[in-house]
Amino acid sequence: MCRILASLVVCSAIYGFSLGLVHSLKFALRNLVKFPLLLVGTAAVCCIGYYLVARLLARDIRFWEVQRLTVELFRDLALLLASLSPVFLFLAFTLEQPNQDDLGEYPLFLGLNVVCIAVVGAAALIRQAVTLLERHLLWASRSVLVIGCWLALSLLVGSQGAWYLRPFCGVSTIDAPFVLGSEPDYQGATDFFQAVYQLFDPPPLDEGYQRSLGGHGSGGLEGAR
Amino acid sequence: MDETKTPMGEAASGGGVNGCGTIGGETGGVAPCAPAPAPLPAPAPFSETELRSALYLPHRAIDLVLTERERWLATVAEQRRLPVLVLVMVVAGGAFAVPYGVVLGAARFWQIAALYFGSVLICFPSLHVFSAFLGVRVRLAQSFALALLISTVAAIFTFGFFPVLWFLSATMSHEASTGTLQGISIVLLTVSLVAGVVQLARCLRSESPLARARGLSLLMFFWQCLLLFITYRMGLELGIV
Repeated sequence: MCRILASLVVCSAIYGFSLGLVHSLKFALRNLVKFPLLLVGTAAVCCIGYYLVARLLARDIRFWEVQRLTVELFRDLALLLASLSPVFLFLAFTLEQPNQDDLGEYPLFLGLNVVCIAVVGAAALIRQAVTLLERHLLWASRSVLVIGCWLALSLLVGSQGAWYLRPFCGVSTIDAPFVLGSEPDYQGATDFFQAVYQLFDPPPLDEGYQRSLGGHGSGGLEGAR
Repeated sequence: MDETKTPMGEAASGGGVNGCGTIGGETGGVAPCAPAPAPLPAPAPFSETELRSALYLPHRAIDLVLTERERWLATVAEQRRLPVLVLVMVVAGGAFAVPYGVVLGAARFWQIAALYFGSVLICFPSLHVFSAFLGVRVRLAQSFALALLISTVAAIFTFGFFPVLWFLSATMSHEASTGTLQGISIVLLTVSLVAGVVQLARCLRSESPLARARGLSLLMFFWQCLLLFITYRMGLELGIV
């Protein structure tokens, strides 16, 4: 278990480093702490929930076994992302850097990261579903249900955790503190769920933007979440 | 081949079990039978020691209610040590519901227990009276244990969700996110309640004579609808919804 946890921390730190390097070495070094914190924190907050869901749907499963499975799931995710680190490092050094007038190829970098996290996350989930199926002889539908519940719980916590720990990367022309926490973004959203809601029902930009400037004086980088 | 050994080591002679063992062709022998599956032993009710250990070992209480549902149902059906089982469910449910209430606010520690157990207590008389009226052979303590299963499982699940709610409330700004947090809390509480309903439904699908009591499943369906409505109203009263 300790070895799995250690590889989770190392791999996620490697990926975080490559992600942050698109902004600066400072951001990359910060991500050495922030990205492992995000994954381990999510696993820690959800551990009891994971266990109870597994207990309801797969009876012969023990607490430590559930923790091992979920840590393995996060480890797989981190490992797969870490394997893509050279790609993102290469892109971070070669993409057209943002300047005062436009964002250059930064949106492409961001989009690629989002796609990779989604694809890699799905692959890690499927692998653990198969493991669960083999180890506990669950029906396929039940394995998928257990993993789906774990995913929903992880997304609930992980998305807000990522919001709180933002920025992980960003436009290199703008600096930001270590974490922005619950400071409002350019639309005034102070948490992830509000930000998602505002995608569908955006507030008047002026009002939100003024609140952001007036409240905390830290503009940008919200796009980097 | 006149007879064949079953995996159980018994000699199954031709001609008999399960109607198989037809006469063979030229040899006049008997075709081998598939061995009759050994009947599963009936699940044993919980022992006094197991129930008492669940009073001070929280993980045992979780196992008791969530995992060992055949044995739970056997204990209820046979009414062996039923008062102790009910006591375990009340104590465990009450204790597991406290952390979630504390996250809502220190002074509100009792509200989740009140939400689930209060709703069950309000609806329980209707369950028992209707079951008697419809001729479902379930005793008072048995009805109470069945009803209590929903609230206990729901309370256990809130224990799983309290770190999630705490984390979200710790990372959200209180002025802007009260509505969001309340919405998420409602979803988590609903999921917990649904887990309780699902667990009861799974118990009622088993082979126990209690679960097969005529009309019980249908009655439980309508009663659970009532319970969901009352829980919603209770949530409104307590300011949770």
